[in-house]
Amino acid sequence: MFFKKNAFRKAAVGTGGDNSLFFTSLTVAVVAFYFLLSLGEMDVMRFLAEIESDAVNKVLMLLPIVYAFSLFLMFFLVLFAYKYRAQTRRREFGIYLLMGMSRSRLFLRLFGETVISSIISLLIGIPVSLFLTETISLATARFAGMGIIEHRFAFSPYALILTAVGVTAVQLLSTAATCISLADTEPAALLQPPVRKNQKIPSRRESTVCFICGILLLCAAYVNGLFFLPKIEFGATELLVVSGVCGTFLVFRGLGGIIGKRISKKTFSKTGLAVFNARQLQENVTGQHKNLAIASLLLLASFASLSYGASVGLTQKTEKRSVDFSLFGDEAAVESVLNEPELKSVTKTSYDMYLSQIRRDRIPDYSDFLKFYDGQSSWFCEYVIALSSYNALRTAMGKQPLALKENEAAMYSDLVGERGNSTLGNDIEKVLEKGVNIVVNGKNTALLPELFCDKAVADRSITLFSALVVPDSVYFSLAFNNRPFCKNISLKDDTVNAKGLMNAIYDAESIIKKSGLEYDSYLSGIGRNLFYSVTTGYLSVYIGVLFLLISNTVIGMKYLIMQRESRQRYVTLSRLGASADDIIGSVATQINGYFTLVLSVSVISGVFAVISVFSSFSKIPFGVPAGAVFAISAAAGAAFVLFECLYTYVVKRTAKHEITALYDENNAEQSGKY
Amino acid sequence: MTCEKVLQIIDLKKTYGKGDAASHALCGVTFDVLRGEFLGIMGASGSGKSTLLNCIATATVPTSGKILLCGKDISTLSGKELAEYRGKRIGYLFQQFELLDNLTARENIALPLSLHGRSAADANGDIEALAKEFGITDDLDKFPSELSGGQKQRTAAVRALITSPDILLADEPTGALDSKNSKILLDKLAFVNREHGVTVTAVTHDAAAAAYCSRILFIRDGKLFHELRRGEGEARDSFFARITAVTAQMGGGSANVL
Ligand SMILES: Nc1ncnc2c1ncn2[C@@H]1O[C@H](COP(=O)(O)OP(=O)(O)OP(=O)(O)O)[C@@H](O)[C@H]1O
Ligand SMILES: [Mg+2]
Repeated sequence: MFFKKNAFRKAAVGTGGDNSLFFTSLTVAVVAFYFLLSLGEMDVMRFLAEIESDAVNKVLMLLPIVYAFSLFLMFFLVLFAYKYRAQTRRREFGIYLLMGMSRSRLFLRLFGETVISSIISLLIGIPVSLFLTETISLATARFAGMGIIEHRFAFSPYALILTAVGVTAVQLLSTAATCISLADTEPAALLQPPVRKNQKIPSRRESTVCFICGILLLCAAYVNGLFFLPKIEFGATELLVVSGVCGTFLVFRGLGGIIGKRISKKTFSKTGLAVFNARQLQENVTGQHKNLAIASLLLLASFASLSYGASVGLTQKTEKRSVDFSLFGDEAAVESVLNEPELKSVTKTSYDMYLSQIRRDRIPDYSDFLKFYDGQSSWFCEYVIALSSYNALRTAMGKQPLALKENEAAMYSDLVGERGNSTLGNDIEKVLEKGVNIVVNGKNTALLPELFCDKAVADRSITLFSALVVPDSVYFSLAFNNRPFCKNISLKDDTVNAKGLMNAIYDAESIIKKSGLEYDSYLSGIGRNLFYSVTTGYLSVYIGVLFLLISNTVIGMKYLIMQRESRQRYVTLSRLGASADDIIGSVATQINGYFTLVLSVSVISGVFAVISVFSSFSKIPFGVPAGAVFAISAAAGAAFVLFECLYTYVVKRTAKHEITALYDENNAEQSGKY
Repeated sequence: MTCEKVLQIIDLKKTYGKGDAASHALCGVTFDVLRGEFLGIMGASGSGKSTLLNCIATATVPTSGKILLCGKDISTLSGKELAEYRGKRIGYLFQQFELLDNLTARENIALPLSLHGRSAADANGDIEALAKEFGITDDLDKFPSELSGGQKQRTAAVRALITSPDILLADEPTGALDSKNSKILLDKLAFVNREHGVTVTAVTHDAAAAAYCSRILFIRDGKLFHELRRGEGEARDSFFARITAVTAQMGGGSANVL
């Protein structure tokens, strides 16, 4: 009965050593699963599901794939945690087996413990997850939703169950893997401290060749990413991935030998444990070069996703709210809806939007009246907007109305206001600032030196690449159609402030919906933008964090496992007169070196990755300064490095803990005396 | 440091465990080790030899009694002094060599030096000289996995001696070696003992190895019970015969005959 009683305590606290890393890893797994699975319950997603249901459903359909992928990655995280723990408990297992416990009983016991630690990790992980998802939900509602989404506490039993299943399954699998490796180890061997297999150190020549080839391949990848990827040339992406991955592997393969070379040259004249540290590092890198390369690539992916996701998510510009609704159709029908008391009470202004195609014959140089400064490309204008309508819109937005003389016009575009090309908007403004004159109705007309981007309608019913805003009298001579294009409505500020923008528009929309009129609403505009920033920003941050955690766990656990295998060396060092502080210092140096090697490769590659992603796949929105995007990107990168420092600190603490325990064990009876 | 009595062991006792489970490994041992001596310690398995050596090496704390190195009580050492004692004042030769397998022989040898602030580059002349005496000059840049058992133990001996310790402690240094390599090692140890005046204290089971000593202490059940001194100019063979006579009696259990 000794076993039963102790099983829970064992599973919970293990046998000595520091278990915080083990349970932290498991908690991370729980949080990652729950977070992913409860995505549908988040405020942002609920909101989007209402207004962009198709797109959201498509994304939610993707979730099982992401779930399976995470499950796969999580397996490694948990596996490393279990490997590490199995190693701390080797002796214990050996004793059980020598005492006559059958292997099957031991394995059964291990599975029992796994169930218990699953339960513990869920008990810790679920509250943490709930807290985190709530915080993130609230924060995104604030940020991405600009405060228009009201918060709702979301608890998803579905996510909970799948999380529990996933976490337990992954842990059981890891235990199975542990049992398999135990099955072919002699009990007597378990009693011995784990030993490192003597690994052949690759020849210097081989390492140097590998290292140089690796560097060359990486440089090729960087050049490719910076210069060819933006042009989307054929095969550039594939080539980039292949050369980047191969380069990373080769660099790590060669690194061990390079460190060896440095040892004989440099550290030999150093004192303390410098030589020993360098040899440890060399051995760890040589033995783990594949794991390190994988971890480094994961870190790169994480770095790139995080900084990309953060900058896209945070700088995504929601279209400026200029019009809340645009109503189309028969004037009488529109009027009757407007007169509905419920709608009328919340309407600030309503006005006709006069907007039409231009009659080409009235503008002789129609085809290219706006020559770009390079003299090659030109820009032409297909639409015309009446000044009175546009001023009504600006007044509703609280902006100064435009004052146009008879012989003046203003340029309008709603493409550059959005995710369009920022350079185009800037180029047009540059030309306008120089002063542009065109001939309208035979009269010389000057264009204002500014580009106007406040959207003329509520959403996408019409997209105007460009239009001319002209005085009303000119408008009617230029327009094909003399009737208003639509009726624009703006809601009262009081209502919006009281109910929140989303609710205000949502309520008003339900009245308009009843009438059966055709309409557009600002909400769908927000929806689209939000959807864009949520899917790209959110998911890349999620994946970035996932990669970050997993790669760190791999590096950290691997290091600690290797440290355990070096126990005997530390005992020897202590007998040769190294103090505990010497060894703790040595361990810290090794950890720093180990993480720095992996990180530096990832960060260098990461910087190139972020730059090339921004210069090829993704355009920086107009009006968002590139500096801000890169600043956020850099901030995310800095946060990433900070996290790494913290993680390194935790690993160091655990390592220190183990060394101290080792000292106490070896000097058991002399504690307090020597 | 010149002191006639390098080591003084005074009424040393060591008890493992408490109460009924207590096992008395050392029950009051007193002896001196003189400068330049090659002292052997023999005894049956479990008689307390390793415990004695571990106490001297500060790997274990004695229950009572005193150990003085050149007159200084080592139980008063702590921190830096203790590390210096372990690393510089004593050299330790282990049965299982205890070389760090990821360091070359040269780096292993340099380790105790660099731990105390002297770099390998600086000490290279000393390393080469001592390595030459132990016949491992060609092996200095090899890793332990590329060395034979004998070469490993000779490397370990060079590492133990490189700091010019006051005393070299060896716990069954030939225990893992074949007779040929044992002989080489013992010859070298006898050489440095004779020529450089290095004080050696070695624990051994092996009478042939013990015959190299100038004095042998026999220990039984944690107590000294006999002492043999090699006569001036006495041949190793005759000393060996005297040793085997004692060990035979010890095995027979008739201790009081002696
Ligand atoms: N760490 C320990 N805990 C408890 N008892 C111990 C410990 N180390 C040694 N002993 C006991 O102390 C006694 C002396 O052990 P020691 O190792 O000194 O013997 P030894 O003479 O070196 O034997 P051998 O020739 O086999 O190496 C033995 O009875 C042993 O069981
Ligand atoms: Mg012993």
